[in-house]
Amino acid sequence: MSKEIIAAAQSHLHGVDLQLISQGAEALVFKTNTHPYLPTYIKPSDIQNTTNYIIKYRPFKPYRHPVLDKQLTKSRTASEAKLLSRLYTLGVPAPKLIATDAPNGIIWMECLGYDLENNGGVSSLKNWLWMLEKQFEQEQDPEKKRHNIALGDEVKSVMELVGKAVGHLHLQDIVHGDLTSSNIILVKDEENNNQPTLIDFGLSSYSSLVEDKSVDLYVLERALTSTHPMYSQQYNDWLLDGYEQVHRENKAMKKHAEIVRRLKDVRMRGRKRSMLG
Amino acid sequence: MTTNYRLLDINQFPSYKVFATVFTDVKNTDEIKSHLIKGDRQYDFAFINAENILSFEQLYSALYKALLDDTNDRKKSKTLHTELIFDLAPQKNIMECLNKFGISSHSSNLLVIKIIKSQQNYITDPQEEEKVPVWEDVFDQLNQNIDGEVVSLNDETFKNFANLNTIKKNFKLGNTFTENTDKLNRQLISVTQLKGI
Repeated sequence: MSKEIIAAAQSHLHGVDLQLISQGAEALVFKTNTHPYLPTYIKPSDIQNTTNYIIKYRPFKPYRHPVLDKQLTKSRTASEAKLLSRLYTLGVPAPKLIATDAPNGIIWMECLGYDLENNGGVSSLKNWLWMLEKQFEQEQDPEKKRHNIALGDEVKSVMELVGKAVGHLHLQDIVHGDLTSSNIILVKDEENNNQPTLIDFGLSSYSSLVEDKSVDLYVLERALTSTHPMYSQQYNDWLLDGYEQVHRENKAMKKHAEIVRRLKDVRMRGRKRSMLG
Repeated sequence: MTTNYRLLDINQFPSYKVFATVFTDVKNTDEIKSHLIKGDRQYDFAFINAENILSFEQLYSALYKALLDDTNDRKKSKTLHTELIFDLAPQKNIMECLNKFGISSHSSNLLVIKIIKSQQNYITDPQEEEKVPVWEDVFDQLNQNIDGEVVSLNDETFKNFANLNTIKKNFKLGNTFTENTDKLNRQLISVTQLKGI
């Protein structure tokens, strides 16, 4: 099945090398060395990585009516592309839009992140935390063992920045919809510090509802609990600190109080408010 | 090959050939426009007001979009040349796009593009060869019809001819406008990529 989908993607992407990096229910994500329209001697502006690009492809879903499928594919691709462009003008860190082929369900975007050392994989927050957690567990030197690197200052500052990034999004009334530690990518800034960037806005939407924002935070909290069970409490506390900070800076503490209050309710009942579905 | 014009390739669309050149200090824009409106075959080009173009990347982005929509059979205007101008602009009305981004009385710096689609994909057919024009002749003909001076086409040319005030106005950027041309460039590319979807 996967082979056929990749062949379908290739048929819309003439002469483009495709390397599958992830496959979800909604879309396939490829990495490529080819820019959709620029010759190699022209470098795209304000894009760091000019040797790799990401292609997100929403394939045809055979279980849907073909007419409906076309409409859904096109509108979801279009709204994700529009959102990426909007995030760029708002200055919220996110992959930059490079090209769109909405009728065929294709978005080209900037390739973010770097490879972690010792085959740790791409620099998602999940892989990075796993790497640090493993480093601490395997540490033999008792001196170093006294300080847990997985709970060190760098992790604290990264988690706060994640909270800030989510806060920025929410202050613009945008909810991510699928916050997990693998949908957060670390990018090195000029001073070689890790800066978290949110990716995969496929389930994002505009909402000013307290409920939707609380659910966003709750989903991330649950994702952290399941992928980093030992440390999730501390990670989440730091994250919420950052989330609070950005609301304070933007004089939105009233909103913040409502969201945090609602988050407690959501924790009690789970992310679905109604008992249906 | 001379530097009077350039031939651009878009990787994913090898069956299209794109010819590009720039003229400065053009004095007969009204004359060109009237020929264009009459549908004179000698004027079968996209005449673009270079004030709106910040970079090669922006031009490539619009070419890609036009060729993509042509391939998907989703062109909004009649020809590839008008489609290219339409895709550069944010406006939905085709006439408005042509007036603001195409040729007009006060556009003295002109980017001129010709797009040719060969009927058969990737196969070099000897009969096809004849249909592809001799670009040197295309340029000479154009040069006779335009009362202006040809300049070599590169990123610097675009930067020199771009007018940030015109861009701010034509793209209706308002408070999202930035003087940082790298960032501005990305915004303009997004406009093209999101056109009509």
